[in-house]
Amino acid sequence: MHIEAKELSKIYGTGESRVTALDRAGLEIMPGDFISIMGPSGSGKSTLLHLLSGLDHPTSGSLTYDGRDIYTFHDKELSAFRRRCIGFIFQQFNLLPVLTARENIIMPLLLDRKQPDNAYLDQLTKLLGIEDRLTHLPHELSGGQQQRVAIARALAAQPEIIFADEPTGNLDSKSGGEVMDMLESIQKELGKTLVIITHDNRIAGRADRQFMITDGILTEVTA
Amino acid sequence: MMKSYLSLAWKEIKAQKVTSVLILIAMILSTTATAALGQSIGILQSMRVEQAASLNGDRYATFHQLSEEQNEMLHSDPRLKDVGSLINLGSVELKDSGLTLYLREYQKEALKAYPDVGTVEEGRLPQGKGEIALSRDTLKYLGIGERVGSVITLPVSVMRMRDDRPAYEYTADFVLTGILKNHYKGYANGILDAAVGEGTAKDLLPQRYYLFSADFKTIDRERFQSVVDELALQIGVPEENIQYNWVLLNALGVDYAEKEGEGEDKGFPFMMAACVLVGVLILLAAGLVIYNILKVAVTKRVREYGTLRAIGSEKGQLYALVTVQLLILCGLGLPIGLVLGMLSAKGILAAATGLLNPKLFLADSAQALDASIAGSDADILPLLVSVLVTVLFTILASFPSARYAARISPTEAMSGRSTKIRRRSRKQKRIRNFEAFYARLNLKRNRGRTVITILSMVMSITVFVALQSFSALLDTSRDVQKMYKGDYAVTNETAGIPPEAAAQLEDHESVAELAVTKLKYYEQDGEGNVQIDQDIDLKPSENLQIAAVDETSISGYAPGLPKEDIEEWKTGRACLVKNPIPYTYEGQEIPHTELHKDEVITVNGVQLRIAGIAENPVCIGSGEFPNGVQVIVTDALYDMLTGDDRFSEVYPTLEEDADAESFEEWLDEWCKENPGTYWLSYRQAYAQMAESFEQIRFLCWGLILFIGLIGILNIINTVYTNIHTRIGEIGMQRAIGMSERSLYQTFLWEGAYYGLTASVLGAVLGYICTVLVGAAATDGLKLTAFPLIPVLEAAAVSVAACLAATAIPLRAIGRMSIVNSIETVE
Repeated sequence: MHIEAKELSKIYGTGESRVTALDRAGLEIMPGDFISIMGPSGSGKSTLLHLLSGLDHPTSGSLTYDGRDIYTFHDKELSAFRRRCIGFIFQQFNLLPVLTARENIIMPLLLDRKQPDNAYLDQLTKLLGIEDRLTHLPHELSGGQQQRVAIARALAAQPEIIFADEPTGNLDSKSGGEVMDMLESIQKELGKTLVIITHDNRIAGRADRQFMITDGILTEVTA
Repeated sequence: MMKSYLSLAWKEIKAQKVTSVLILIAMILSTTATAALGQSIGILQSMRVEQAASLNGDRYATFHQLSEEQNEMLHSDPRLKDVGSLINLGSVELKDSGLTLYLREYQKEALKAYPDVGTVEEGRLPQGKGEIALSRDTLKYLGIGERVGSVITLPVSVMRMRDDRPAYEYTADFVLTGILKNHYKGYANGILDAAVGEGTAKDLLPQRYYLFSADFKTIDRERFQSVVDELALQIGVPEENIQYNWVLLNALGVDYAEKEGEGEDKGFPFMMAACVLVGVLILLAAGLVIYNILKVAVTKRVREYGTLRAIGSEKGQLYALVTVQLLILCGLGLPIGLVLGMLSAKGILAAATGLLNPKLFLADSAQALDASIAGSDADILPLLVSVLVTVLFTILASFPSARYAARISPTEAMSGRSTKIRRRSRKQKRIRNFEAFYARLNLKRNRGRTVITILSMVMSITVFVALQSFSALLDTSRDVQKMYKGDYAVTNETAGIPPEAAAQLEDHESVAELAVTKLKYYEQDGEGNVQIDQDIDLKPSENLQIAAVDETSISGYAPGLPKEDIEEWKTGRACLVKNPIPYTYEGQEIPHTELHKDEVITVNGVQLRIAGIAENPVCIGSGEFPNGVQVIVTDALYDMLTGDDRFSEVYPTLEEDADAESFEEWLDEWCKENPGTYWLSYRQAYAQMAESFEQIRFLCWGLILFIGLIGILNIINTVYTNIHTRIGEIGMQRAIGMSERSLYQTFLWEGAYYGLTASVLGAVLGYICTVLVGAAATDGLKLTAFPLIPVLEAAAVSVAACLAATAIPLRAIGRMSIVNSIETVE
């Protein structure tokens, strides 16, 4: 899926309290790209991710997926688009505490009134090494295991694009490294587009294309 | 120290505006309700005593058939007060009305105990010999003009109580000195009163009938029964000559000998019980709301309390902090609720009693009842009790939350670990409806909160179903419907109503149906024979009565009669029998006939098996039962046994849209064509009572809405809390593609589950209450029919209320930004 962001700006407040979180950012993402966006805290990287994934609306600018402006979608259409085309991985894992690992993974499918493809689910959970943790509740899993469940959830509906917001931020370095290895291999083996936000140089360095954001201004880092 | 708590508690209250407002509303509602109920009970009690005194005389008991000497002894007894004597001069049958006029000579101040009898509209009360005062109705029935000063001649008949001698009959002239106000309390028993001037009895009555009845009260109410017993022994009054004024004694709560036998006074105690039950349930519901809201408030601020603990707060200090918050709210809510409760008590009471039948409160009209309410003052005690109970419940409700706050571990509170959920069933199964599945799991997320929310709804439903049972018990219209077979009773006690005349009545365009009764008396002659061939061994003074009733009303005379017996009765091979009423004379039981089920009797050559013993006799006119053996048979058999096909009484029921006024005009003409026939209308009373039952139901709905409001407060609080504690989750779900609609469905399912669970539990508890109410009314525990309609109504309303309570906070979700939600730290 070809993503094109043009002149994306996000401004909060007015007058003296006006804050420009993102200033006319432009970005083109091709299918199968692995992109990292780096920047210090409060630089606007999460704002960019929210705008790119359609979670938020920009103050100005446009965003198209294969030429379609997703900001013109109604809630129902946009929800279905996120369900089917986008996978999210959060820093806090954000698993539903009342659901088992398996139920958390298949939730995007259930929301779409679909039943899971068990063969694909087996393959995915084996790949992530959580096949024996599927009946556990989130609080019974370690941080690394919870994030793997979150990755499986992001991939359950077989989306083309995955947005990951500081996916290793809540993990120790060993678990963080394992999670990144998995994400990278999935991106390569399954041919997904991966957009990752991080403030860790080592993680950012693994991406094919690296972007830097400072005070809302996005620039591509060239080698 | 206390000041710092106060200021911190104030800050907490201000910081948690929604929570504080919700608690305040719950507190005001419960205080208002309990204060109003407490006051109402007090007002009702004092009103009831007043009404009881006016209904049946302001006296505790009466000794009858006293000699002059015995009467004097009573007047001089130091244990008694308000002693008043009267002499019964006899009775006059009022032609074609079914009513009897009783002439009584009230001595000195005795009439004061009967304010209804002694209210003069014109002229004055009789003072000397030969003077009389009569009501307007009496004058109308006597066919005499309403002219004070005119001379009235009355044929009077007087008997001693339980006398075997024939009545003493005399005719006397009276001067009409006053016209009394009509009062209708005696109509139910077919009695009208006349007041006769002092000295008249001595002139008119032979010594044998010159007897006094003395009304009195005991100075010491607690010793009432023992004083009565001592007096009876001392002056020689047999037990059967002692009449207890059970209406007033019951109202005052005085114990007396015959109390067990008096079952007619259940309405009021049940009303009181209903008030207390409703009060307790309101308090419980409000207590649960306060508990829930506080618990949620404390849970939301667990980090703050953790911080306070970390910087050195002691457990007791946190305990105090939560309790002080509630006490501040108590300080605000209780006075407001109290004032509202006191202001509304009389209003609510007037409205409530206006909806109910005034007879329930022993008043004969709504106006009399209103006047009584306005003039009565409740004791301060019930008010104080209700306030104390409310405070107690409120403080109790805060304890678990205060305890929770005090026990918060600083390290756990600060760590912000993920929620631990207990879930037993984790089997992999096909999930068809994710929203419903997720909603079910969410209910288990905080079991305590779910239980409390459901419990407050359960209370509402239980109260509703139980109130329906209470109201059914208070429903006098059903008794009236049972008592009367039509809108009118058309009676002819002498010649009877010929079938062709009855047919004419039945064929009238306004008449929907016509029920009938036939009744014939056979008196014994000097040799003990009756004018019909029969083999019943009748005792002296007993007569034989043959009665016919409709097939449909037979079970009303012998409740619980087996189906096969009813069938046999219908075929004419069996009958019902009403045995004579046993009585004693001068301490000795008079022999009486007593027939039993399955015995065989022969009447006019027809052998009849006794299918059952009737509880109530078939009566016509004034409803008297001349003591004797009554054989109740079918209409056809009656004609055969008696050789008479005329009806004694017929009961037309009008079409719903009939013009009653023109029918009554027609009925007057019809009566003239059938001499000796007169009619009485139950239509008005019937309609009023049926209407009052509908109004009782309406009142129940009012109460349920009040308690329901408290329940809804709880649901709103729970749903709001669910949303606020799950904002991050909601944001994540929205991010990964949950539509707004899907999110709405999840919360609506949660609301529906609350409502449905509460409905099921409420229905069960309500049914148990219904059975208990039935048990209290009948003194026997038995399963009654399941109150399906009330349960369905309550279920529908509670589910709707839950959905509505859920829908309101859902608007907040709709407006919520996904990004802000995800970034919320739970």
